[in-house]
Amino acid sequence: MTKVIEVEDMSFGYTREMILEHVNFTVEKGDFAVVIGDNGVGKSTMVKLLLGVNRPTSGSIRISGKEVQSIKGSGIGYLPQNGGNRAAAFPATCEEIVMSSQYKNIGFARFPKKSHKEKVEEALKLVGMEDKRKALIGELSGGQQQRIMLARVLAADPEVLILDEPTVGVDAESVDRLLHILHHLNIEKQVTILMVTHDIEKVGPYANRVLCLSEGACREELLPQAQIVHAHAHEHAHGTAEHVHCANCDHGPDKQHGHDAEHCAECSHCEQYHEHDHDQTHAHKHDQPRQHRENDGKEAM
Amino acid sequence: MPSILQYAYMQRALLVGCLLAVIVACLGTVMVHKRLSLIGDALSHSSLSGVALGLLLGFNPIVGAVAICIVSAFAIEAIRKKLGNHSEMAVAIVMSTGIGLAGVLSGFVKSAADFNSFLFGSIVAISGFETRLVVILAVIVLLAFILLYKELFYISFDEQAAAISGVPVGAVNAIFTILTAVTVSIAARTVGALIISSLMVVPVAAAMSIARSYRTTILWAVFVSITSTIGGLVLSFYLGLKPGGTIVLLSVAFFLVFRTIGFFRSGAKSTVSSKEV
Amino acid sequence: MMSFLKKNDTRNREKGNRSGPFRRGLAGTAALAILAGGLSTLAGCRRGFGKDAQGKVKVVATIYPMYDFVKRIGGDYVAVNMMVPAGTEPHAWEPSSRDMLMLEEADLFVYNGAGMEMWADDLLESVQNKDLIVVEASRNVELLKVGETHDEDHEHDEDDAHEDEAHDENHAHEHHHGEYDPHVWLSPKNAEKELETIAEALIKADPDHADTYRKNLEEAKNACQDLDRAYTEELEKHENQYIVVAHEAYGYLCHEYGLTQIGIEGVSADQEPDAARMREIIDMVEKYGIKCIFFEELVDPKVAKTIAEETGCRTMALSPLDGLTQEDIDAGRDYFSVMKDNLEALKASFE
Repeated sequence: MTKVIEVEDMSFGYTREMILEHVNFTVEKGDFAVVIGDNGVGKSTMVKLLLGVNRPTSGSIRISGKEVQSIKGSGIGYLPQNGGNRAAAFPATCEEIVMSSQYKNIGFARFPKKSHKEKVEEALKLVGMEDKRKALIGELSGGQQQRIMLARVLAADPEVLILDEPTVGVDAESVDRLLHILHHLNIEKQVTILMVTHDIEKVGPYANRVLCLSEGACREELLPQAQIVHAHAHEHAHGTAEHVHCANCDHGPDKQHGHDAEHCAECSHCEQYHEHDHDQTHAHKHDQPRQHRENDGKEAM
Repeated sequence: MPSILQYAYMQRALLVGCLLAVIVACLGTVMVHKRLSLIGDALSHSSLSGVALGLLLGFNPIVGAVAICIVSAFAIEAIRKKLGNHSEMAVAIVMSTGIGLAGVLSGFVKSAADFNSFLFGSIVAISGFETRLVVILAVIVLLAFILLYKELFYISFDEQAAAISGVPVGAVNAIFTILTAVTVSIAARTVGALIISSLMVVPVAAAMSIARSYRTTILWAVFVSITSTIGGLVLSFYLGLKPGGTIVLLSVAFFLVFRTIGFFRSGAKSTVSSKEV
Repeated sequence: MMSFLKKNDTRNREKGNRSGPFRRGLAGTAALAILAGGLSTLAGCRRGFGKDAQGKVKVVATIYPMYDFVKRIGGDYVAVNMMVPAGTEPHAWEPSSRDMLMLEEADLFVYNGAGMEMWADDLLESVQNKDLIVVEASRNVELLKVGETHDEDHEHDEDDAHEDEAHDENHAHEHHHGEYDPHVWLSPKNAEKELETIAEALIKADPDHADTYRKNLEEAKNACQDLDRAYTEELEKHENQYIVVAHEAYGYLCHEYGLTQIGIEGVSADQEPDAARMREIIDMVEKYGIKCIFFEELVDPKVAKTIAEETGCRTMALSPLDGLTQEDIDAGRDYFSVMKDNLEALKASFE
């Protein structure tokens, strides 16, 4: 499997105070990775770094093998937090908004052609919003706005999809719908997904990786010491089993090391996930996304 | 009844007025969505210090006005980025600096007449040179606006996403900052600061009340801007009203009417959509 | 020589009323404007009576014609300060606290009156100087109402005179009761009367040099009469002609010599023309075969130039003398030389 996102010994701070220190992780092609962690732990900062908006103070971030700064966002699709809300006051139709991301395909100072319009139409269909193509974005519900924003991202054919809290401020039905679309992309189109979220309960079943960004045991200290813990909850396509391992847990990961999932039962971030972890073997409430995943993995091999 | 078009000064007023109405409305849509509605006001005030500087140091005051306008516009851009949510303060800061500087510098300008003549434009007194200048300016601005329409849309809608998608945000912003600065400094001198600072905002506000897309927002803004300009000139010609004030008030009237239409329309819409949810 | 202030801290507000935003903005920076005045002082401009004023009659004159008349009569026995700075269009000028201080020191305050200095009443009310002799130079002049160029009988009424010049959106060529044209000095006959009034006051303030003042007055009156003769001689041929001027300041001149003025702007020089007024002027220019549009040095010539371009006229400067620039003063120009230039310009305009 090819490594899509590679973060190596990366540290970052806006000032001399580091927000993220010595972060290491990789996301591979076809992964659906969820990033969890407390508020203010640096999740959004992490996203900005992955997008190349901010430059790491030290270490490196590579996307598809290239330094993130050098690729200028090509191949990356980004859905910001409350993306729809910000757009609500803007007087534009859904179609116009989705078209904007065709920029790379159209080119600087050129005009859209029929093929670009078809692409937009396709993206609108993908999110089930083709009926609203002429509607003003401000007239849609929060969930619908979110889907338009997703369509905009998808129209650019991203290889990697980075989503920052896409479920915040969106109604339950829309969240299901959004996750369903993401799942579809993940499975059918092998789009690599990295999602920052609090809503592990809903997102968990669709993900195969959980990355827990936390301040670690020394939470009381002024300097946050962030670390990333790989969390492959399920058997990955490679067959390597990884443990859910949360450094944010009050009990401390080191003491309980080796106790597998149970040790984190009281950690608010991992708890939900673990519960689900146990469910996994019994029944799937969410149209059995994992099953798909495993089949898919084999096919990909 | 005399015909408007039989007078050369009115032909010029209509031509220059309409050209400026179009480009100012276009630039206005960009600026309003950057939350820089008052940039026209700020730049026209700041340009005064450029005029004073030009007269003091012995170079062409129009060049001085354009130069100071460009510097001010970039300063607004730079401060805006630093201030984040309070970006409108950037305009106030630069405007204050410009007026303050103009106040101090004007104290040293020898002849008051020189200073005055560079401060105030009147739409019914436009010289041939100014007409040519505005025509060239209008062509450049319109060309840039049409060619970069897609980029401008993306940046206005979501500057961060535009940057991530590879839009040269810095360059596009810089081009429009310069074009806005040049337009304001020339237009303030040609037709007056009042018309320019108002037409940059009011037609856009009117258009946003009724338009059903970004493209139609621009088209409506241009429509309101041109109609107000022509209407103001016609009223001034036949009724003897002051042209600048009349144009501005007409655009405000458009805003009120459009707002009312938009209110009733969206009222009907929102009841429907609330049922849907 | 006295030193004259070239700048003033209200300078940047003058004529600011053509455009709303400008005026608002500029007025809002009054503090900085005062700073500008302060800096001007540092730049070498000094206000007030200097050492060389000692032993002389200290006179504060409001506008250029008053200043010139006082100097002409007082000669070396007076120290004159001009209140409205050189090069400033006086209609929108206002005195500052520094002008007040100057007045406290002065022996004589000479103002034109007839509504030229709208601020004069307020100023005189707040002056503490009990010995100050106040001279309204236009006292004995028969005032014309705004827009009048033909003989009508008017009783001089001082109270009314001060209400003159009220800003008015309407065209100044319409009649407004109780509003007088203050530009009396543009008729040499009126100038003579103003010179007499000023001489009288100077004699009262400084009886020791009464003879010199009388002698100077005679000379000045002779010069006025010469000027009047020249004007009559030249303009007789052009009786009932129309002249287009930047603002309607030439009522007395026109009245005296049988001309009619068409003002682009009203009697005060700071109104933006509207499209209809422009049309009227252009139509009149064509109707009366006018060949020249006059502009003023202290008013933006844009409008005059536009009309000239439209009608194929020339443009020429015609000074209403309400403010000479410092350059003009330095170049030795005065009331008489400017009046002669004006006559030449008028002559040329009819050819």
